[in-house]
Amino acid sequence: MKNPNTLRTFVAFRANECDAIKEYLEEMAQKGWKLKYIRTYFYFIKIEPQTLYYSVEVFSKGSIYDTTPTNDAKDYFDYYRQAGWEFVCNLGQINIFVPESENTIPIETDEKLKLKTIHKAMLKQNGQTWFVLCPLMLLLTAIQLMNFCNMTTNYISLMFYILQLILFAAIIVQIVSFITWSIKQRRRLKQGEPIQYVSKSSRRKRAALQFVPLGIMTLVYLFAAVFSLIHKNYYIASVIGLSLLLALVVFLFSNFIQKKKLSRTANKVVTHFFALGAVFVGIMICFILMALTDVDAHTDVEGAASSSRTFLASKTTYDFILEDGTEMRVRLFKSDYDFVMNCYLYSEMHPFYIKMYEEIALPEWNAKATYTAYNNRCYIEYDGYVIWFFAKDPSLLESSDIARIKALVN
Amino acid sequence: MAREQFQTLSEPMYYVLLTLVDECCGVDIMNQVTCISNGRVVVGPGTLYAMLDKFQKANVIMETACEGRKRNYLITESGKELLIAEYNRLQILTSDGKKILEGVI
Repeated sequence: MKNPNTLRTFVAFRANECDAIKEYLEEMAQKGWKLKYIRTYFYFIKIEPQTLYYSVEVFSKGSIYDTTPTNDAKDYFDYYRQAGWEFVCNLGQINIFVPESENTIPIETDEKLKLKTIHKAMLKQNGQTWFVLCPLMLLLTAIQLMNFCNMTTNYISLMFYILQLILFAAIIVQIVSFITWSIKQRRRLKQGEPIQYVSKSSRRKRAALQFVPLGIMTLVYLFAAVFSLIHKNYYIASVIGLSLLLALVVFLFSNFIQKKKLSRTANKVVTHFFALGAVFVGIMICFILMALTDVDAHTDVEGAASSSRTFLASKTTYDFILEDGTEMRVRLFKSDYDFVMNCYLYSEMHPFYIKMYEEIALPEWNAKATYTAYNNRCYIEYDGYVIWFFAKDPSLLESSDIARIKALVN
Repeated sequence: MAREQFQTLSEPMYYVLLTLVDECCGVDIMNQVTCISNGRVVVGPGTLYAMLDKFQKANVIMETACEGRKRNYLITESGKELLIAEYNRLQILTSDGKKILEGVI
């Protein structure tokens, strides 16, 4: 079914990488491929290998949601046509032109003006990722850190957490690289030198940097899906399946939007609708994970335990009946790493990052003990473990019960 | 305000304003500039489009007619003042240069 006379490639590029795209398109022409249109992918048709010139320009009044040129853009094209440049296609606000003849007026541009346009375009292109997704992820990270115990003892939670950190790091790298580029170019302009655009080779490096975390994320994601299926954790498996399905729908829809040439507003509405959907599913995943992993198997059997562990830490939960007949839950948390232990203690003592504990003296334990009144838990750092149990007044515990709890550690 | 924004005009700016002393169609400006400057100054389409927009916003030029997508522009009074001020400035530059360089050349 594949047509040998057409070729499609996927090239993700940013507004300050226009020159790299120009270089790429000219190289493709040397290889015998001429750009026909862009719709998520770059579509090429076969021609005789030849030297073609391209111009890739950012249109200041354009929008990333433009599927077809707007009236403003048509005005703008008139200027190009007058100068002998023919419009080929656009991707959002980035327009691609070819010269009609060899001696057309070069698209010489006021460098200062161009840098300003590119700055604006970069913000339009990435603003949502930088200023919305980034804080949102910080928030999600903070929420997950509150449940440090589950995060470190449950592989699925841990994987999601690592996934988030990778994505977060990728965005930070993006922002930092743009800021350093921008500062460098401003300095160049002040010294009267032309702007230095991202070249093809450094764009490749950038793209690789972006695709590595994306690749790792996909792998982790698939691994999580398989892992949860093996463990018959169908909730998580279905959540993963759902989000993968959503990603597929977003991809197909963006293709559809470009094919149908929806208006800027319609495109904006649809895109935001899907983005909100994705964020919603993301938050749902977080909460479902938190809720699922926090519920331990609860039984009435004396001493019945549920436990989970990762290479970082382990937790075991016991439900047992005290001497006076009341039931009590006891949890043992242990990690070989002091750092993890300290973080665990911090997260337990500071719900919502607010200090909520008081130190108490329990001579019978002969260990450091703290009490969090808001949930009636008593924490004891005993023999390398952190033990917590519910107690309205921890000092009233019978010594035989204490001995039984101590026995759990051994 | 316009005066402050365009205290010294860049070469392309100066030539674009010169062409607009007479009413001119936006897309024809590029050819006019090349013509007036004998091909020495070339204004690219991207620059011109952005420049006209900037000039119009600063009330240095105004749109006089619009037939379909063809827009005509003309310099405004404040634009003229700006251009003349720049012209005078350039003359001072050359006359100052003349005083010193005449003996040298």
